[in-house]
Amino acid sequence: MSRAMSARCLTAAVALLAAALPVSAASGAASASHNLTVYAVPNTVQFMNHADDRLRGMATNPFKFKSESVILNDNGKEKGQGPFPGDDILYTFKLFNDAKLAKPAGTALFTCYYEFAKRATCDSYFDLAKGIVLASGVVKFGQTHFTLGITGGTHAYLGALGQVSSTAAGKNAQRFDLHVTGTAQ
Amino acid sequence: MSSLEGVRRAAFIVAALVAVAGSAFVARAGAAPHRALTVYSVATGLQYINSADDSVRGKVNNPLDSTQNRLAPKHPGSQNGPNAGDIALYALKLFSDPTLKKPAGSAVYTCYFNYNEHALCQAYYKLAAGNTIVASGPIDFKKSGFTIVVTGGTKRYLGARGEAKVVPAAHNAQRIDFELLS
Amino acid sequence: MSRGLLATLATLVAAATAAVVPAAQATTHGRSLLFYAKPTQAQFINHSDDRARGLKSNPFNSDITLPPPPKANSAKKGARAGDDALFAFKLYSGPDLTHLVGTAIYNCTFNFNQEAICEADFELTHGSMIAMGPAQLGSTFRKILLPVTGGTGRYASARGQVTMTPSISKNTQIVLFQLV
Repeated sequence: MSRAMSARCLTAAVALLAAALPVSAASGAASASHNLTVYAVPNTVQFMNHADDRLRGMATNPFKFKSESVILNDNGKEKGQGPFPGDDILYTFKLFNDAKLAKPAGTALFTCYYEFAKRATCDSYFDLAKGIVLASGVVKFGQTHFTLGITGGTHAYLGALGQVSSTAAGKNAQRFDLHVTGTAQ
Repeated sequence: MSSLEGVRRAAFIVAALVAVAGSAFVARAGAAPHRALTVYSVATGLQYINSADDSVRGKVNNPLDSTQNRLAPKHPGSQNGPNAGDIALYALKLFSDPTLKKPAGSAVYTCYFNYNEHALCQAYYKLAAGNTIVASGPIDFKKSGFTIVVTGGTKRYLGARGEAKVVPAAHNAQRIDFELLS
Repeated sequence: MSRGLLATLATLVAAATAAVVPAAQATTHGRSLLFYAKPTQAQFINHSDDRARGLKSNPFNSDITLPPPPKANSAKKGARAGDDALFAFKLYSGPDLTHLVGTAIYNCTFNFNQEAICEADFELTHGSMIAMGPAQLGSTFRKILLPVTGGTGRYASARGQVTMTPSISKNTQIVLFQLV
């Protein structure tokens, strides 16, 4: 290769790198990710039965749609097993770092608002040593295996995104695998 | 300059650019776009939803199994609350200055109480020109300030993430400092 | 110039370029998703007794210090603060509503002046998305625009906004996701 050609190749190389430099700067922050597993044991469970509000809502509502009917037994109770739309359940959990449930890791709270077919939108927060992680998603009543989307967090989890997967873990415990991405730290 | 010198000079520039590009990439990995916004809020109304009857009904009429029913909270709660299942809805006006003279929008907090005067609150802040920020998180009503998580937004705040720190301010207001990562 | 020097420089350039060009982004970034939604179920939960009880029995003495905003509950026939409205939809990929791709649920809690905070969950083939934000749910419904706050599966870390608007077809809504 002639020197002139070599010089042109090198000029091209310099130009390519000079163009790549702002691209790297503008490519956006690479962000930290954390994988965290905690084991949860339910501490309290409270059910809010909104039967009267449901019945009232059939007759008095602002919409023209045909609202779901509330079917009552002869004793005045709703037919079938709930939870019914509008009911909510609050769960609190103690969290542990290990499957033996010996090392405390914090607490969690789930508020689940029931809709149709015993499915609920659950809003949760995990109060951990390094901060709070918020997660939300749909859970079917009685289901131990579900996944929630992480919507944010505080402190070490500031800007958190990702998801939380839940599976049953032995006696009366749940395993939560938190895959946290997008945090500032 | 001879061609050989020119080639060597170009080679040096290439090497320097590689070093700088690498540093920029590493530095960028630790940095994040950052926005801050401060507004002042004043509560203009509150509606409290006392779900005492639903809670009592739920103790005896529920689909939980016996193991879960044994985990029902032992303490019945207070007559006035806040008790688990109650809801507090706050309407707020927003201002861009601490003297509360320049309107900046409005906000609503919907707080679902759980235990020990804690609630999981969902908030939206409607700012000028249709810009909205949404946030949620746990709030301890025994404390005068709180920090909740910014989870999203629209228009100028599309995809927003970060946090909103709320502290008491003059004139019965609260100062809200938004720290947005994007 | 020696071939060795040229080869070395070429290698340096290739390595540097590979290092600085960003890796392929997740598929949710910077894209739009369009669905057609058909309502399947709706339920309204009327909390008037809880509201009345809350005016007298609350921890804030709010009936004295901070009453509900004026005209806050002026909506006729419900849609008052604390009431809930639930809407379920089937999601289709096209306006002919033949190819089912998922479901959606909007869970809305009213606050004041016929406004509500809605939390929406979209269950799709490869994951789910969550959105939350304010909605005007008066009798002349036009559009609901909610920020997307997260997701699972293929949509884990989803952010952006989702708009629901009436389509020209009767009883069908257009759902448009704009993800950043």
